Amino acid sequence: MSLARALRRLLAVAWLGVSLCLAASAAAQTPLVPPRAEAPEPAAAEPAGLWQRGLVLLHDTQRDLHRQLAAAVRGLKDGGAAAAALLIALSLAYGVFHAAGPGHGKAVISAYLLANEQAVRRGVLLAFLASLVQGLSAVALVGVLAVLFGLAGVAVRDSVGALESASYALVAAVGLWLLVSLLRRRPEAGQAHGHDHGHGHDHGQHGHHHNHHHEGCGHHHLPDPAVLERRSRGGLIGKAGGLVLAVGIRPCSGAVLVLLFALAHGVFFAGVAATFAMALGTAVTVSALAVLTLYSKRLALAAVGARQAWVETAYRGLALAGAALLLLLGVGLFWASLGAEGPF
Amino acid sequence: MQREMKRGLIASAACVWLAAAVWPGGAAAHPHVWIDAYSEVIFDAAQRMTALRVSWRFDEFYSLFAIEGLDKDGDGTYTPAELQPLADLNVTSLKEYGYFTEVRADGEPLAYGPVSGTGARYEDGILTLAFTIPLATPVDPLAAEVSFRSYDPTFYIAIEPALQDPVTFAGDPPPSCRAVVQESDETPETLTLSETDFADPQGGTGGGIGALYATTLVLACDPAEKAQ
Repeated sequence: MSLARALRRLLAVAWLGVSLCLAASAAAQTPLVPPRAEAPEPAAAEPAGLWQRGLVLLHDTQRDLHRQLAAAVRGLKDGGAAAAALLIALSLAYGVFHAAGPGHGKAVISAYLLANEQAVRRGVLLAFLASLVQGLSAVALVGVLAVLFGLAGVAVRDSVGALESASYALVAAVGLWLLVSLLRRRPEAGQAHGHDHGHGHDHGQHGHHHNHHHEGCGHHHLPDPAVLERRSRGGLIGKAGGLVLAVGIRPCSGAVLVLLFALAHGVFFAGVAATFAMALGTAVTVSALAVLTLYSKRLALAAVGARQAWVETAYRGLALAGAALLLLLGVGLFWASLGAEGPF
Repeated sequence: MQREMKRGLIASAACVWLAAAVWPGGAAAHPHVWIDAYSEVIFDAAQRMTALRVSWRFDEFYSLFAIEGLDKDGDGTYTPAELQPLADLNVTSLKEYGYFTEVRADGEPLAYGPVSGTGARYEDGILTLAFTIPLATPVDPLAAEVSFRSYDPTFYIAIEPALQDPVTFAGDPPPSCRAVVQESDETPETLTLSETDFADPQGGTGGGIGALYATTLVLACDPAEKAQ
């Protein structure tokens, strides 16, 4: 075992440890209380976990950034380059923290990666593309409806609801598509892609340049989804593109509100810049989760052992679970999006 | 091989977590609207709590969004009269959601009477919505521990107690009472994961993700006061 490999293993185990601890605390679902005021005697004192503290910190940071953002947009009217730089920096940071909460297609992207992706680089690319399209979607929506047609903000936001439903329906469609092609693939999967490249168990030797091996998927002789994809109907671009579109056409209502605010203050282009900075920040957070997902998946497969049949079964199991999850998420979210509107 | 399998189990658990961690949020599960909440606890002459009056200050983005088109006389200012239809609409829609507010006595949710005193104002770019939630039956804070919290279960809106003076009293409160934030024990010694409390004292009321972030305010009183 090379040192690099040993280190990587160690890192992986540490990663998992942290993940599991976080999961355990999350499952506990103890109510969160921001650290404020003095502790009262009558309330039952319960210890705050790191997880809760982390969430509270995320939440408070997000609130503070949001508050400063409004001031930054207003300040742009008479501020110069410094004001613009401040706005961009705030928006970027806000995007990072904002996307850290549930939502923003993270569940959807994770499920997709579980089902149909191996390469970390592509996972990150997917996250960035989805966030970029999300930013474009917000700018296009406000640009067309509010700027071109002069519709009121309320009308603009109502159309966000329609786009949300469309987005979830598309997510379900991509999930179904994946599920069907996974199930259809079964008979020839073993044959279509030989597992006989004879490069042994080159765990994590990223330097390999087998033309159909993505970075980092050389752990085992996995059926390479990329190759299978190109052979199957629709191709690789189809599903990944479908996912990017599905996630991206739903604009973040936060960005829509920022754009409307900038428009009302006569600095629409500041809003556009802020939106893309936010999208970039969002992409960073979503990418982090994409990396975590792919790493966990890889580790799960590595841990199964070296037996080809087992690896294939595990790989297939994970892929099916991911596709099913994607379908469920899409249907569930679509259903929920048809429900009652909130009061505000 | 056993160690391999164990690792496999752990890794699978991590994957399950990934799915679970991102699942419960639902559609719009992080805040896009922020509210600074001020609460006024109203007491009657018998020192019982009779009502809760809430004032919610919206963030600048939502404030501007919400008031658009309401300056009916076009004078550039938004008077309470011009904003009244908005306030009424909001409070009417809030009814379905229990006004996003829970008042409890010894942990039991209390019933409300019809909401009154609804109004809104717009000052310095901030929209404030205010309304009074009367309790169906007044409650004695010396006889039961009274607590309240406001939250949006979907967490589209983050409702947080204002940083300064989030709670005030009106009428005749029992002299020993004060409002405190129900707080976890925040001393650094207890800051270990092993001590994370797995029991949810609220009994898992199904308040959605918003409930996780909700801040509960408690009327801390000295019950001995009653005996005197």
